[in-house]
Amino acid sequence: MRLRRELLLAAPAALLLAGFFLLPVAAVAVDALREGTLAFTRVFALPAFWPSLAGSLLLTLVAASVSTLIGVAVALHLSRLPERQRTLLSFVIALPLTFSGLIVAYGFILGYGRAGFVTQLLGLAGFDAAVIGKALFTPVGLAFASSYYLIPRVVMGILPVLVNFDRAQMAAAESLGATPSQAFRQVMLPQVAAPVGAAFCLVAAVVFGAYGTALALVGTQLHILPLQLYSLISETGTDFPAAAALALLIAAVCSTIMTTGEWFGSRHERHL
Amino acid sequence: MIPRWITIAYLAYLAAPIVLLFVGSFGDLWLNTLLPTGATVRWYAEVAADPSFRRAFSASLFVAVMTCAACVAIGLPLGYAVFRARSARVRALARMLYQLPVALPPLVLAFGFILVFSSDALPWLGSVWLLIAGHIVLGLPYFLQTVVSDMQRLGLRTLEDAAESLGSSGLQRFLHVVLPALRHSVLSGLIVVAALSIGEFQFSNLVSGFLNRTYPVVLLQAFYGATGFACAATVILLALALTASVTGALSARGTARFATARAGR
Repeated sequence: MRLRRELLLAAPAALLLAGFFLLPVAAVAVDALREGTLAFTRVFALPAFWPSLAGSLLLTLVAASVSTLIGVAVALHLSRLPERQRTLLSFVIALPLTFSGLIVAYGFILGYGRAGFVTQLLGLAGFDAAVIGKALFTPVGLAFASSYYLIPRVVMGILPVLVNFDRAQMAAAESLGATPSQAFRQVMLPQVAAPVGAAFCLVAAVVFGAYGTALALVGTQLHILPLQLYSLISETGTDFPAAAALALLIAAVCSTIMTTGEWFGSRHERHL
Repeated sequence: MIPRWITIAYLAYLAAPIVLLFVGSFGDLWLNTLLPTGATVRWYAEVAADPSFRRAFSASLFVAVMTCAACVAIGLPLGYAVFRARSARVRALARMLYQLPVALPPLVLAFGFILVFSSDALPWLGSVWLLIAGHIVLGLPYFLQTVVSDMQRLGLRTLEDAAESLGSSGLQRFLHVVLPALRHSVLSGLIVVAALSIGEFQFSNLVSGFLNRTYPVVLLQAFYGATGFACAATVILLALALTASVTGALSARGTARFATARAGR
């Protein structure tokens, strides 16, 4: 009787997820595998596929590493602040989480584009403005822009762990003769490594599958996999099975990275 | 020491695009100069007078409101059912299932929509309701996360047991105990969903029909025109996101205060 009531409560949402999430995903998988591996062979044969794969890997690696490093440093600073200041700063840092990727793209064009504010300032300071102005439109430049909405995710994920970290352990290590950097590496790092790994995976999965900021910054010329999928879909007379194969590939990579992150996260929970 | 300098540099990196967008939206002309020359509000007037932006703005609001309504109507019962489930394994499995959409790039979901809903059997592509269904799928995990964790933190089960021992029915408990106790987290969950829905581009860009394009989809076209116009159109979206963040922070404080009050009883 109880069970039936709960099933009834869950049914509407479950039906919606089945029809508008599982069904579309299944359609992508079916379309991709309809001709066996032929669709995948055609994807690998696309002239832009391998450069796009390289671009996506470079973007993901740079964006996730930079975001994790900066995010951990910022969270470390925040965790040492009094609570009121910390709450206020966390609010400011969380702002980009609700920003559309388009806001980020146009803001970065204004700041770091060919005639951007920072580009021109650096030009006045003696750097080559033409080189800097082009850098934004490469995978590494895109990583720099994407970090705008990735870093807050890292900070929000790591901050509770650092706030709850018992600092007396650091003092104890230092009183026993460890240098601050030794204490950080050998006492703190092993305890926070799992959540840091989880945050790295989360942002890597997000940036690997994203195309909004890239499309707004450069159009479809940039070689990354999601943009290649986007142009495959929006072109007329598209080879849909090949597009489905590419979509399946991207989804598989994202969910693998995400699952690895979950695994890191669950390791941390067991540790507690 | 190093973390402090990184934080200061990071805050400058965070503020720069926002400040430049605001400055650009009030600048008369911005062409290869460091900052725009002349001050004007005409770009805002132009965006407000633009029929495609007006239509996109109301389409975005409609989609966001409908998405929020659906989250309450079907998400809240689902969250409650998951929370009430007896077996921990069922709870963990259900949570894993409803978090799945987070791991899927919106682009791939959009392509799945194109495959399924441009067929002869289900020719719904381009309808605003299909767009809303997608926004619900994308927003629901965030809504459920907020609400279910609040149910656990509040110790909702104890409250309900007390009400049940006093002879209340299931519906009475839901209306008079569960809903009032959850009002803060439902509100903050809805604000997150609304903010995500209004800013959503990657899914809507492929799925929205020509007549119900949402604000971000139309905004992309503005990037190829005058700088001032593009800035003003972007600032409007930015202002909506900032409003959502401020309201969200205020309601989160409400949640925290309520939980503390219950814990300190």
